[in-house]
Amino acid sequence: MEKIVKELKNRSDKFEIFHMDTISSSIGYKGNKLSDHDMSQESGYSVRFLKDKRQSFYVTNNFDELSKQIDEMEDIASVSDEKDIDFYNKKVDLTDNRNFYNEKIESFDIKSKISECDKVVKELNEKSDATISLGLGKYRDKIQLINSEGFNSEYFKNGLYLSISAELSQPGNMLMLHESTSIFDPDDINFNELSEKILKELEIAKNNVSMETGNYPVIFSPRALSDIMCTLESGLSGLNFAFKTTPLKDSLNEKILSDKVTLIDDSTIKGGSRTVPFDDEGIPARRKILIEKGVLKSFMHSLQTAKMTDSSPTGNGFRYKPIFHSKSYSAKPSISRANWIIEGGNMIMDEAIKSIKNGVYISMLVGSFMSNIISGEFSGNMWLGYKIENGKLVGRIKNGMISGNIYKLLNEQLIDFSKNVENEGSEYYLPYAYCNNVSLSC
Amino acid sequence: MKNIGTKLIKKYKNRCDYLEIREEKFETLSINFNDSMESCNRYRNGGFAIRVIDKGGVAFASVVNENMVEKAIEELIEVVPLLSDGGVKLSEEKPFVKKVTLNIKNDPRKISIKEKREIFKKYNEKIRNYSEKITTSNVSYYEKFARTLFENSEGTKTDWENMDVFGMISATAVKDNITQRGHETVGTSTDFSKLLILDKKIDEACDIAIRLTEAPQVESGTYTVILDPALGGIFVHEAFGHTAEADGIVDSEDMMKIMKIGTKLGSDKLTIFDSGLFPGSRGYLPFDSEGVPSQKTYLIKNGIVSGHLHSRITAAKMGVKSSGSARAIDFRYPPIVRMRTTCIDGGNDTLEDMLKGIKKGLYCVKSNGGTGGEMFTFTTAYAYMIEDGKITTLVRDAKLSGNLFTTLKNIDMVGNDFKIYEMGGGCGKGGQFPLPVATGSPHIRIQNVVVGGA
Repeated sequence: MEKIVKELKNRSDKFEIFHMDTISSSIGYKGNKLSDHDMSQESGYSVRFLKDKRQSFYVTNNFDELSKQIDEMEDIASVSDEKDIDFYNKKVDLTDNRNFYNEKIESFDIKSKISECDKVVKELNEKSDATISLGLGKYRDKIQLINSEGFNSEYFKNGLYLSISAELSQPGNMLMLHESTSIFDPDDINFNELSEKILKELEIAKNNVSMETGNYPVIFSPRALSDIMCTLESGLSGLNFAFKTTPLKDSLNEKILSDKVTLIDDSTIKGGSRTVPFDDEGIPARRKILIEKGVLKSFMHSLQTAKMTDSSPTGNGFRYKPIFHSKSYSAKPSISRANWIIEGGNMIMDEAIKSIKNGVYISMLVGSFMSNIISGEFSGNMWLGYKIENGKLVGRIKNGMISGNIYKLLNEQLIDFSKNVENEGSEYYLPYAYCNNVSLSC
Repeated sequence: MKNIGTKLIKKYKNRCDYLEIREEKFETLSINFNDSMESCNRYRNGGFAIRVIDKGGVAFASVVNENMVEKAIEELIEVVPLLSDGGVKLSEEKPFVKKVTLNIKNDPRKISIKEKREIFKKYNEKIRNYSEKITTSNVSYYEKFARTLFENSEGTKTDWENMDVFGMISATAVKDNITQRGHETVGTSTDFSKLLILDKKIDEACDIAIRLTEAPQVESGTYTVILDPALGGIFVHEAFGHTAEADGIVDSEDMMKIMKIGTKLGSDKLTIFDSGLFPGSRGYLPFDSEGVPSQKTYLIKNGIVSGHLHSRITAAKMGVKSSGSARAIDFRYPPIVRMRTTCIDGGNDTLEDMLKGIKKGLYCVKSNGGTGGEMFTFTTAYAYMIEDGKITTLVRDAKLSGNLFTTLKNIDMVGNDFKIYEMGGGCGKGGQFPLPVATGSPHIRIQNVVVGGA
């Protein structure tokens, strides 16, 4: 690596090398039986090369190729338009890695859980008649970043994940329930928690009810709320701020949402799936308030957009592949949220449901990301939505679509958030949201 | 290429029922202009994918380093007995040996990166200069060259060299806080020159973006809709294609009943097939990632379920032959059941006749993507109201949704104007994104579709 660094120093004005090495393994149950075991080892490098303020981005998984390809890096940069960027050598604290790396995961053998998984799958299948699938996996990333400012740091990050699905279908009525969780300690693997959730929902979901198209009071579960967060992620993106395509472009320090809304971007939470010591461009991890009591405090920036807009980098430069957001050395750094937290309010969920005569509780929403999200618009399928009638959940609403605009939903339409905030995949920490006048198409 | 498959298969084939080794090397170039920002990225990757099947269990490993392949095989052979409850078997297929070399017109690798960049930069400038109402432009170009060597312990050996190319352009217009996009896309596996004639598409994309900012939002509700061939194709891929993938069927007693051959699922006019045989299509496949030769597979004939998309594993569970639909996007993944070029077969109706019967409806054009399931959903790029048999006002933000089973039965007219639609991006099932696929369809008319206005 020293040789490459030296060569890049000579040939470029600025450079950055990102290296990621991932080992992962998982077991999978399909049709109530253990059916797969996957293992993968992946490794690669990407280089950002700058000369005369012109950039190129080169990716390979072959280390020996790096020095041979500097000519091509320079070549591609030379035909690009000017786009300067600043790299930084900020101090990062690597002394305590317990928020993102757990020794116990390293030594944990997934296969040791097979008999327990067998039992869970069998029990769920017997109690519910549903076809059960289960996935249990672990990963370990090694990440290293070097740049021309002298930054040279590396860390290990690991984690576990568990998902259980139950499928109960008849002609004209397919029901698929799905629960998943990210885990940071093998001792915290809690099959019962997910099983109970599935059984509870299955009871209500078995009963289909109809609902008229119209506007209703709606309670969003944390999971449903997470599906529409893409609107805010897009609105708060420093890139959309730079291009002036976000509706929030002139709203810094102005009230944009209800004063009940405080949204925090945090890359330091213990066990968070997006918890890291530094972002994928070397900016130290931090907890940052994006929206405080409804007032816009900050956009999210990568190094590129910080340079473009003369702002400070905010540590939101990550290398996620599009759509599925898996981290990869092959992805160019772009703006992405870290772990997102919305602070809870005062609502007690049970009381809120009791107060609704005719409304909806959404457990799971899908597909909102396909709407015109930059303008705040969302529209998603109610994968699991329930009718609330006279204070009780009476059955599953089939074929419903919810739509709206986040800047109205979490503003004049927001009645309150729940007191309790739930861990949603360890990347969102969200409350339930009780909103008024939400548009439902059936 | 390292070509270590033959040696290792010979060494290990007696220690398990089935062993396959897939070696792949690929190289991509992407050029992207996003307003005034541009990027030009080169990506090279290569590695090995190994699968072991033994006594009912299947185990998969993917490694990058050649010296880890043998170690991975040993580990898989050790682990696979734990999985024997899975009941995994392979359908019986004849050993198949074939080599397919690159057969393309206008090799984009012969054009220097500088020249290529100029082509797409010009497109970007054209969008930016179209009108002051256009605020953002986006032009993407992607080319991938790959070579895949596959060998298994049954004597199948394949060698496939291929190209995948696509371009996407979009223009964003803003008016009074309303943001709208127009976009066009083109894809090919053989002819780069298709990327050189995008000027007209750019004009259309810019024009529609501006017109959409001035158009009313569609009213939510239930409509009779006509889908244009492009949207018809997205519809069949999302609304039915994924449901016909056997890996979502074979492990569920309920799905086996619902998707049983002979079941009436759609109207009499509906015939759906999936084919790997359209030359030049991004969905073209000479053989799949299990070395099974490609085919045209009928999924629905006149409304009745007539087949499914299979890998060798799912085919064995149903007691049929594989349809050659097992695809892995690259060496990092195991093959799973995927689509190729998925089509609604042409019928006999005309667009005129479809419009005649509609008092109030929606004529929907193209799409920005969708999701499947019992309840499917997809966006429309734009739509027009249909009033008393005539196409009238342009409306924005129409998103279509529906229950698969009722919708397939509500297709009451199928056009005589079948067209293949090649698009950029790809299918994202199982995280294996973007898998190159394509679609085909004529105009189709559907009753009672739920439309959301955002």
